[in-house]
Amino acid sequence: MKSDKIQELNKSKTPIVAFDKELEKLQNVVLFPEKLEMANQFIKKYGLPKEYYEQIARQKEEKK
Amino acid sequence: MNQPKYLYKSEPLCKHFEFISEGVKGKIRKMVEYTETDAEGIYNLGFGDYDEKTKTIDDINVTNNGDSQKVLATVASTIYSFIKKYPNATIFATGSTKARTRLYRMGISNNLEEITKDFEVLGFQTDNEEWENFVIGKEYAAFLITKKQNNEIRQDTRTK
Repeated sequence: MKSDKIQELNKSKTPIVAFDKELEKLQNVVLFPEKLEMANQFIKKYGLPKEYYEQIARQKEEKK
Repeated sequence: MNQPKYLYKSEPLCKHFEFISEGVKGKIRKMVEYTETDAEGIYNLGFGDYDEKTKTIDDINVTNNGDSQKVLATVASTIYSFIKKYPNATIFATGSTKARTRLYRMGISNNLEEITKDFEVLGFQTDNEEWENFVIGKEYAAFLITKKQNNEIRQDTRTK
């Protein structure tokens, strides 16, 4: 029974997530600011798939 | 995903994850972070080693702790936790260096069969400056990952 449970856990797509109080302190912290900036620059330069912009436009239209 | 992975910790917002890599160089604390970019609903994936001595995070070097498959499978599994919390989010990932981008590509390639059951994976080709469905063996400068049923991006040719 117990081994069945372990097998099940090993096959699961997401491992058991334990919440950590220490990590809660990071909620408003950006650990990788340079990486984020790099991502913003990349998106600004090359853009996203056109369907993304269409989807955003549709969502905004629905909100009206 | 059926590959071995590390147990990880998170916080209630599921934007920060932490796990310990155990390999030939000992125990290394790994951090994964999802931060929203200037583009609405697009979250940047940050991933690196926490340096206990300097209290800083290194997302430049590839650690070579001998457990890269397990580490990448763990990072991939944090995507499931993050998307479970933010089902409409799209994840943007690119490496700080070419080596890191290759590492991400390897991680996606090794887990592609499993990932594509639930997610749409796109790669950005710098040659023609287009997003396309991820193809194993092709080089990409960046990646986009989003939950299948929420994504209407289904065409083969993708332009901005």
